[in-house]
Amino acid sequence: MTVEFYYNPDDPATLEKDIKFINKAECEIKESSTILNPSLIIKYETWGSLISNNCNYCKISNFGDRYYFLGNPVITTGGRVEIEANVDVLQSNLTELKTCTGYVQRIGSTTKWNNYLPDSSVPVETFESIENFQFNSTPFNIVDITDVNANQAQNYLLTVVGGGV
Amino acid sequence: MLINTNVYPQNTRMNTDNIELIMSYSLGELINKHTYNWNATPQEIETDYTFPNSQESSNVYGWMDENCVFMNKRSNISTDLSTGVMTMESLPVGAGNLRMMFRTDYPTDGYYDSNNPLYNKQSNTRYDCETTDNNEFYNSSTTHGYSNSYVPIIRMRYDRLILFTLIRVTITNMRTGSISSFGISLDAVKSGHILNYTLKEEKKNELITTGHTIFDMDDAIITLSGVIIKPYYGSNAGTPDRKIASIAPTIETNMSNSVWFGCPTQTFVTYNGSIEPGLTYYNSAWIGGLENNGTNISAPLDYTSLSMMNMSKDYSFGVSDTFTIDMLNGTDYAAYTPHFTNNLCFVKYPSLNATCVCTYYTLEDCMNMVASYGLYFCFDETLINEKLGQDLINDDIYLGKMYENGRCDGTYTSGSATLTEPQAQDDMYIVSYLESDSIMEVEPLNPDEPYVPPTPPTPPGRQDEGDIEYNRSIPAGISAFTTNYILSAGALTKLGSDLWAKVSDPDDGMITNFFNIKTSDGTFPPPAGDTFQLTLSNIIDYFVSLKYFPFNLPDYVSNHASNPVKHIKIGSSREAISTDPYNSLIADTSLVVLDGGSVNIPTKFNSFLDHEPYASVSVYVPYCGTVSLQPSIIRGASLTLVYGVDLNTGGCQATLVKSGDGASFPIATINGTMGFNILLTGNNAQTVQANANNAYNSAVLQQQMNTASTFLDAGIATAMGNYGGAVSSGVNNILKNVNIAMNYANDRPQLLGTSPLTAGSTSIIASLISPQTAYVQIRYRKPNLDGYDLLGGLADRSEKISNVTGSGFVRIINLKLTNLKCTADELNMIKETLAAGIWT
Repeated sequence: MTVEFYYNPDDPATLEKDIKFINKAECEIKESSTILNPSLIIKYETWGSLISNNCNYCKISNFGDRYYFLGNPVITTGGRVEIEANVDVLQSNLTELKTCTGYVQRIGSTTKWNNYLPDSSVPVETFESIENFQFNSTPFNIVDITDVNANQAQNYLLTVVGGGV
Repeated sequence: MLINTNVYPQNTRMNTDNIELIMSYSLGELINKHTYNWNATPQEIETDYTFPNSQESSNVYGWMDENCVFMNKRSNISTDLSTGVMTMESLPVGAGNLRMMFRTDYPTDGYYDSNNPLYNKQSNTRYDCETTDNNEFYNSSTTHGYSNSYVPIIRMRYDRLILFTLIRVTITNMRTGSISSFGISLDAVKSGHILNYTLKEEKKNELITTGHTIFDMDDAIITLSGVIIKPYYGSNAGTPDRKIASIAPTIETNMSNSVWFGCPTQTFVTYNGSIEPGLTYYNSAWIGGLENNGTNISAPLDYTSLSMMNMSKDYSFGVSDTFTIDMLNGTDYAAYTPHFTNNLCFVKYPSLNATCVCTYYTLEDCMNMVASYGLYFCFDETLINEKLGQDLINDDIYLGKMYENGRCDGTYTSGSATLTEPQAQDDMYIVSYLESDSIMEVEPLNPDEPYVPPTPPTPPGRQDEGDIEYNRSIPAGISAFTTNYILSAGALTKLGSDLWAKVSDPDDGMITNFFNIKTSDGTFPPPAGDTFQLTLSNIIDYFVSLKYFPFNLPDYVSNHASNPVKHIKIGSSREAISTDPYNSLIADTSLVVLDGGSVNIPTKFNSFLDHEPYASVSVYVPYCGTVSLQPSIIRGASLTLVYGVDLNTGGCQATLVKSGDGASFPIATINGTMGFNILLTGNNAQTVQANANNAYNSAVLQQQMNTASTFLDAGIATAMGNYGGAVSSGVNNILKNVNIAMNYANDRPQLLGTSPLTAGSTSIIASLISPQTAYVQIRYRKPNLDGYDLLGGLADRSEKISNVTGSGFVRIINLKLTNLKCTADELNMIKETLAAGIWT
């Protein structure tokens, strides 16, 4: 079975990986393997060539063009290398997956945040900062009493019995 | 990922003869000089290209090197695109997006078709191809003279343009075959996207080497962000319908007048006070060339062959006018010198008679176009020179609005609006995303159809409804039994002295000045019926109250008697007399309304962090105290403070009225005390007065008995002297101590051993030394958003996954998986993976 080997520089959780094709190679599938986690058996020499190109990823056309992460290779007898592969469900179903709709909880793009949803995961500093906003005017003018002869400000109200003009 | 939109030049009508597409692409981080990685090995173009039947010379003009330096010498051309793919990475600013597509399907023998008017003219003279009747500008629905003729309709949406350097692609003499789908698309609307320039080698070679074969650019994807369409015609004389010219907004990197270009630090405009990390917005540069007629001025639009001076909105170009707002500047360029390129390299065209026309622009069009760069622009060179280096807020200086993702739509602001509306939220994405290797085809749009930018959705936030007005008119109070005199501090002090003046002239047997109060006719003793004698035995009992208010009463007591009175009258006839008038005012109302001012409460974070429990709000209201409000109510709103004051009791009520967000209504009321009682009596005073009264009565009795008693006179004088002095000094003490309080002293005012000034349970000192202007105090806790984008902000909305690609970390739940060819376990794995979060 021909397997295409790649170098995947991206995080496994990356939706669309920027994989680099390395080479194709003939492999055998270990007995009792599953399609999700097949064990590939490859010649030691072939594997050496692949690993020198940072091979860590593969595509198996026979398994429906599925992509796989390559696990830890185990060198076995007979000049063979056994590698466990784990299916990459994102890359394997990329085209169809893109057409699917889901409920986006979090998103990195700041333009798509809803900033008014309380997010308890935002760390806030312990101490409080204070903003003061003063009103733009005030009616109060406390008289300078030291100038008792000044009659400019009239702040006193005397109420008398009777009185008048 | 490509972003598709329509190219949309206004009223563009083109002849298919000679079409020059001058395209520019974004250089968002021009200033920062990001490194661009070129897959192709830089190399020179080996040979100049000359079209087989054209007159172009082949001087090669520039390209960009990896340091974003525009290379205008052939030897510095950094790459030959024929080698394959040129990739420029990390263009951080979305320059917008556009694409253009046009079709010209000539018959296979179209070039030699005698019915092709262009050909006929071409055979005579290179540029005189517009003078026949048949040679009209076409529109999309016109077939003219030959079958299968689609005249190029190119639409350019200027709102996509920001910063450019230029790549020129010119298709000249494109009469030799058919152009079926010339596609131009643009990548990179935001940081981190990759621009791809792909032009298949064989196609390019076809164009260059054969010139007369079919030119098919179906597979070409040219990433760019600006298009300059410049079909050229040699002369417009006698063809008044062809009288427009120019297009060419672009910004170049190495202009000689680069002093105008760049990003002056003082005009760095941000979106909502913050910039998306990694993005840089360049907003400033003076768009010149709009004023000095015939003068090449300014940058970045230095290459202005003719100005738009005095160009009114409905300006009509003269038949011989050629208005070029060609902003392509270059040291080797000169006004009126056309510069055309072949597909890959710049070709300087030698003719001076080839400024081309094809599009009509009004002044507003031009302003929109310039504004689409998100730049400042002005029609007044002097003004802009004065303002550069300062703020650019001026009614005659315009600023193109810029949206959140760096997009502009050609709208602009000026004056103070530039401070508040330089940018707008851009929740709309009127672009669609296509696969990277797909060519986009669009149906030609009606060029006369105006571009209507989508209306952005209403941002989240409050939406209040229903105004509730507070009562602004308080009725005048009724005082049937009392009179309210408004006094100054000086008048009040004088009143004290007048009331308690020392008895004088005891030798003549008459007491002429007792309490300095006389009957109105000046006689003594008081006449029968005088209220002083008949109703109250103690003169001080005529004084109901004396209050101090912290505001100038005449300013607010609207119904006071307008003319000051000289006397303070008590009872019905007795008056305090003074040689100096009291200048008192009589208040006819006892209820007043005070304006406590208003304040706008801006948002801080534009997020939930502006609200509880992350923030708290309190409002300090002078003479009432402090009230707590919910931040969500007042953030982004305006608060107005109104007092209602009862002059009789000194009590007040403050009302906070909130406005904004669609409605105005009171949100809080607080009670307080604003009038502070000044005690008029005390035990000592009453005792002294009782003694004085007794002495007075004894004196009268003794006088009636004709018994002179110097002892008594002396006793009265002593008693009255003590009393008057005590009260007078007491009032002064009050006033002085108020002043002391104002000066934040700790001394409490004393009047005859009492504590006279209080405001409810709060002492006068506490109220007076507190701020006299209301204020809002917001306490908040700063967020630490470092790395928050990696965590991802809350989105909470349904999206197709393809719509969130390129958004960084994304966490998706409740995924509806359809048409996936995988096992049940794999479906679960997909759901689990997306729920845990993926990188897009």
